[in-house]
Amino acid sequence: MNLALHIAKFSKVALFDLDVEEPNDNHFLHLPMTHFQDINVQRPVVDELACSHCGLCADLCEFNALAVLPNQVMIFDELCHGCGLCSLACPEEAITEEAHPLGVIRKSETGDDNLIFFEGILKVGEALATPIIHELKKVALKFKNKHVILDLPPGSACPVIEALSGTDYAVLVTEPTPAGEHDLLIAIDLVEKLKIPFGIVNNRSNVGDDRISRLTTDNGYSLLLEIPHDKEIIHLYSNGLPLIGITTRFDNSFSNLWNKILENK
Amino acid sequence: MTTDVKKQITVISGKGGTGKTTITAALAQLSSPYSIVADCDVDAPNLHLLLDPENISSERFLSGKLAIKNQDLCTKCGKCLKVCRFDAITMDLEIDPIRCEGCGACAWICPEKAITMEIQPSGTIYEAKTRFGSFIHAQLDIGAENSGKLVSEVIQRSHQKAHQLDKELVIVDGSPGIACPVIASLTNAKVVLIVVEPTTTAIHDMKRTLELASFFKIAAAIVINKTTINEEQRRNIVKFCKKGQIPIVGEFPYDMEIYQAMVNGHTVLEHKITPLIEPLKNMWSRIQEMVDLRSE
Repeated sequence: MNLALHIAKFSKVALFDLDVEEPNDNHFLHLPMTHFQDINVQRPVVDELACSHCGLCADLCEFNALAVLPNQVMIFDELCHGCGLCSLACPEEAITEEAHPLGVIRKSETGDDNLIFFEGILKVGEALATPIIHELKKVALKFKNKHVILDLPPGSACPVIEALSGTDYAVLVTEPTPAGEHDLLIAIDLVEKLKIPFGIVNNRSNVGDDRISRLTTDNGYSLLLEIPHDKEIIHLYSNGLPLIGITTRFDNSFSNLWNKILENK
Repeated sequence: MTTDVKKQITVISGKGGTGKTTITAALAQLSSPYSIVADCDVDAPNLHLLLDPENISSERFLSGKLAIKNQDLCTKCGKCLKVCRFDAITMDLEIDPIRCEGCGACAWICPEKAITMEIQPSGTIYEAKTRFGSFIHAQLDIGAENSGKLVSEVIQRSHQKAHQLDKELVIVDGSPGIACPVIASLTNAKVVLIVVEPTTTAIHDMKRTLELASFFKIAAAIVINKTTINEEQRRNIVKFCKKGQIPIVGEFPYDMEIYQAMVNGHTVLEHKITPLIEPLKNMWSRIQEMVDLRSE
């Protein structure tokens, strides 16, 4: 988010918050947002009168989202991935589909500044984050004449893969603790598997020990930026304020970060 | 005494970095006579770094399928492309294993039976011993699907283990977010413990996780970590919880010593971080009341 704010000072940039389970970027940007797109998933609806209760749909469903009883079909919405196989395969054509809302995509109201911002928001109680990320990525692909910055969800599971695939460069943010190093190694494994070039940002670089600088030196990884533990950062962050724009103290850091990214990719 | 369903406490935080794992590890230590511990953050597990487990057994977890195409049988009719809703069939009719959801629609529609669905391992489950007792943990394969199923398996096994060892409690370290792995880690939970720090983003994430707990009708309790970093935001959390009648079971000041504890693989109690010890013990007794744990 701070990187996007830095780039917006001199160039056009599109920022996407892909952490749709807990989108946070706009808690720092405070941009007025407008509805952009509803994200739905298809869910089966069974016409019990047409249904012969043959059980084929339940047999075929790889997610155990249907159970066929002698006179009734039960559908477990939370297990359904919306693939449509049940309605496709039903010999009686007794299964239709209904759109079920998963969440929304919102877009910043356009001004004449350089930054455009999109965020996805998963509805609380819904299990599938990936379809929203998938749609956001489709929007991101349309911005060919802008820099596109994606803020990813944590971890290494399917939402991260969806968000990461097709990106030109990955910035991996870590901290010098055993947990930070452990998760960084998983992330490196992931980006290497997807053949995405990457660099590392060492956050709170003066806490813990020197494990991240050792790791980057030993393996020849690119260390893009070190951000020390800093009272002003904590103050700004905890109050929902960005590091760029409020103060000029961090301008050089983000400028160096951006230049290194451009050199590396 | 034992009951049929073990009492499960799931610790979550919405967003990483609030101190969830640190608090879970301390809870594991305090509750060790009564509990077994499970790490359900299967795609970026961290609890093992503090618990230093000795794995007794490991097992590959099979779940989910992947479409595999036999090139010799394919006539390039393109029906698979039409039915796939996950954009996993490329324009030249190849299957993208990363995109494939494993639903089987392509295999079903293929008139040549050129596509078969093959079962895939998605991770490894470990049963381990630690200095605080039994520990069930798992590692999702890099980029694998089905983290929710792996989480459910970890939960199920930890309850089995608790039965076997006659332990009353299962302490679960959950994953960040609010989607499938988190929902899976809430299954069976009697109490969900939400760790928050006094920052605007963490407060927002806490509200989403509270909504999630109430959606699944699970009692929630709040732990405020790093209270001293922003007094105004701390008061906002307290005010919010008071209004919603959500109990705050622990408040912990920010202490830089915590990073040294992490580097040394110590819990807060083992590292003797004095300002945190009393609040931790109080938290544990509040939680015991909440889950109605009968100490023998």
